[in-house]
Amino acid sequence: MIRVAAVGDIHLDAKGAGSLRPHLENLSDRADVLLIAGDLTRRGTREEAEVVADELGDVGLPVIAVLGNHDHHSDDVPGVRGALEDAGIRVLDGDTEVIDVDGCSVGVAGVKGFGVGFAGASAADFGEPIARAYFGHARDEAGRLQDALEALDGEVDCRVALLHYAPVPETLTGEPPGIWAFLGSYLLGEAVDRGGADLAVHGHAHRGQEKGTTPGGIPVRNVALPVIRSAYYVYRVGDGRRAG
Amino acid sequence: MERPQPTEPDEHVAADIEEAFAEDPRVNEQALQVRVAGGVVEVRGVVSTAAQHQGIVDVLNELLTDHRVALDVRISADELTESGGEERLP
Repeated sequence: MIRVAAVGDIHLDAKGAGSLRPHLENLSDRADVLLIAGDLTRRGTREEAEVVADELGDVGLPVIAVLGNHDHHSDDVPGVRGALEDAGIRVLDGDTEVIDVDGCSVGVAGVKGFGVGFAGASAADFGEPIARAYFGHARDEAGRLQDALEALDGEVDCRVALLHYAPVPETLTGEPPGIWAFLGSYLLGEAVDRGGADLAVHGHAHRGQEKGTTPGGIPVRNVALPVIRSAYYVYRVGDGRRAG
Repeated sequence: MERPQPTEPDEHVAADIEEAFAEDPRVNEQALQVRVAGGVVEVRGVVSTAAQHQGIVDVLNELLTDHRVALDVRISADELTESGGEERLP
């Protein structure tokens, strides 16, 4: 059994410095790993990422993150990643990280994802080049998630999919249905089910709800900070078996 | 950001405000709900910091001339607790 703490959408900038750290003082007693589900910054600058690094660095347990749409806004992903990684925060983008705790291992597969909607109200790979490129980005993100989850198959005791965009519509309940296509993608849900996982966590939907399930029965949790209204939530996953 | 004209339909005013909230660096928030009716602009949602909340006020003051404003915007930093809880998954 591994204790996975998770939060997303912390949206830190210089004015948010010092707002999160006091709430993480007991984190290492309560969890084995902290996952950050994207939108660590407000405008995606290296300076903002350095604030995040000060808040999340050296919290006494591994910290694993994916970036969100806000973290891309200033076109300085290398700067954002660099500031985070300098503080020991692992940033996943289609790859994996394995954490071992007392002989039990959790594999985290992370991608940002992208939003093209869900069955009955989704975009498709059709039409103008820009429309096909838009859909293609969502399909690529989902494909990389599935590949990463499959790479962990049989290698760890439990697997967690870490996303920014939502893999199911259920956790978007509370958001205006007209914007669901910008908040998540059925392609991510398919990737989670096909790749296999014990848990999928995401952010991005501030007005959504916490709990959902993929069509294949995998628990999904929306850990956007405005949803969980706390610095993190803890999920106990894995019962010592080897996920497969 | 172009200031909406007083004679503009409410829907256009709401859309212009939402666009400003998303793009203005003082706010940068896409999840705010804006409703315009009867000369009143209602804004609901959650922002991270008091500075963003002030940014909303400043943006509205710059954009609007004749509307009254009703804000129902929470600041998540003010209500933050440590752990929201724990769940054991099957």
